Amino acid sequence: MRSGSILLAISLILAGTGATHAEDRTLYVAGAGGSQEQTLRNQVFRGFEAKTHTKIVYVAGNSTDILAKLQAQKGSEQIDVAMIDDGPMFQAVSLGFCRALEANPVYADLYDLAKFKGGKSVAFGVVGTGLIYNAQMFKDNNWPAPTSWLDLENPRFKQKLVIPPLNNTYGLLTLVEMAKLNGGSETNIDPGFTAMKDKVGPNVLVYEPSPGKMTELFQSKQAVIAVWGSSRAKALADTGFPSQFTYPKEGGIAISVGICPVAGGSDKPEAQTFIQYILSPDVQATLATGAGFGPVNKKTVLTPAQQVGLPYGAEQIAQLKTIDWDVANANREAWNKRWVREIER
Amino acid sequence: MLRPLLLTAPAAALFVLFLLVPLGGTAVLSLHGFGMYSGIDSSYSAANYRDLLGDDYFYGVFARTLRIGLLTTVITMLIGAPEAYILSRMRPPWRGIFLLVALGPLLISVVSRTLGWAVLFGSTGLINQMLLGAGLVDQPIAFMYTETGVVIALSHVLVPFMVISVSASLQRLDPQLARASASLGAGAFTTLRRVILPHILPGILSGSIIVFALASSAFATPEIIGGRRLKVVATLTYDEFLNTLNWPLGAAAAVILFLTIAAVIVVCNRLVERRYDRMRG
Repeated sequence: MRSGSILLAISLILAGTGATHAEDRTLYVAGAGGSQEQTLRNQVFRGFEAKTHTKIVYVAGNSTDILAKLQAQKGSEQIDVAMIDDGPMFQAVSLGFCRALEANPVYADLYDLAKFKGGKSVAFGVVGTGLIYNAQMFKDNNWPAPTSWLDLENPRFKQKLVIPPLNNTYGLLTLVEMAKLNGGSETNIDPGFTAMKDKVGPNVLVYEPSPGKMTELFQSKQAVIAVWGSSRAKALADTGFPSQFTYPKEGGIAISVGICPVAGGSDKPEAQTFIQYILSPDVQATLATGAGFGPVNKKTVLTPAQQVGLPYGAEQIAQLKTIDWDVANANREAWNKRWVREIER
Repeated sequence: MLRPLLLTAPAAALFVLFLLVPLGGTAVLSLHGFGMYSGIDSSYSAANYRDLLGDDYFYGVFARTLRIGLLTTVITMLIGAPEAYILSRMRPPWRGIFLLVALGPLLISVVSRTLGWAVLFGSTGLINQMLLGAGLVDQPIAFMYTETGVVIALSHVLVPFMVISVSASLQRLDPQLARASASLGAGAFTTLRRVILPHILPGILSGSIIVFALASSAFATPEIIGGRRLKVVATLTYDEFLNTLNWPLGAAAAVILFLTIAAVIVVCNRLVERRYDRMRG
């Protein structure tokens, strides 16, 4: 009840304030919190603000939150640029929240995987999905390091495994991978649901989407192993926590983090410039070292030390698997329904 | 004739603007359709209500919500009513001090208080460490992500509402009544049961209404302690709004919850009123 009225109130407020800001040279950018926000605020925005005399206001939230904000502001758009994961980005584009990208030479330098269909959104970073585990606790218990996605089914991890839920890209990738390893695929998802329900489910302590909560579960030793992304794992390991991140032998799975100029509103030219700026080799290198995003611009150069823990270069990016997003996106609604009924109960 | 209307106008405007308009908006929203890739459409139908009411999953969530609300109400009743009575028998400096202690949970923001419980509840948390250390259990008890944990955390914060409500009716109680009862030969327990309890029953009932309404519409506690697998109607609504983006379905769930709680409150309120009438007359 309460959240319903709050959202309505928020949309009313957004509707009221949208017009007053239209004339300002202020760019509203929505994107993930955590290390991405830190890096952007501390190392990226200043250069852009100096170059274009624009002030950037950053609105932090996870992909689905931002998508909800885009829906709430429809008709009186305030956010100018949205940075969201590939799955929700597909949804944003099909809901008409993104406008076409203007042609620019920088787009020719990108890896193919970064060029999303439709020309309305583009990836600005690649994250590998794999397994993160508490190496100290594995050592204490004399457990071998995890090597396969099927390790998620190992009963020794009873109530010690954390997986983000299906509405989160990590959860979706886990479901599809479990389907594939049990004889199914994107088009035959049943084996995935069966495996998640019968074999993985009993191990799962909680389906947790929040990176903050995930970190807390590791630090309090309630979680020992989890499905997570290379960038998040790097941020946790950088704090000195004894976590290890590994790509299972069946392969890590790529998540492309997307960016798009928001449709409607005042169509600020800075939105397009900002996206081109984010894709430039220098900023790509900063995002790699600061936030752990694998660069999508082929011209980005990283030292060997900077390459550790993130997908870098054509060869490594090619090693990451991708899923059939067309099938996954088309079925997402049905899978989601099934997931909350069969898996999350 | 005009003056009362004018005097109540600001408050009325506030209610209309911040209560009735959003509620009406939610009700209208709940009638629209939705597609994951087409968004909210402007059609009107009862499809969302049909979906929810024809779905076992929703009944499970709904039953859990009411179960948590009911259990929390019973527990706060068992703790809060005696607590209020003991407080009323205390001497001045202590009564104030302990009343403040009893209201303590309300002084902390809901999120930090709930996260505090989450830290205590974890399998490696303080409570389980103590129980394991004392040899009372040999496996950590699952508080996190269980209804037990949600009910404990909700009872903790809602007990003050029961205490306040029962205290109010204790203040209306003539202290001479207890003495009169004693002079007629009733023991302390009989006085409590036959004289005090009937008088504070309306207080307990109205406290229960508040606690039940707050517990069954609570969001932060079930979200943090319960997690995604322990959905209640409020977290289901949140999920539809913010994750699936299916606002109409979320609005429909919110409307159903609202109507249910309103119905419970109206019925209980009748009981309270009748009780008071009987006491007066």
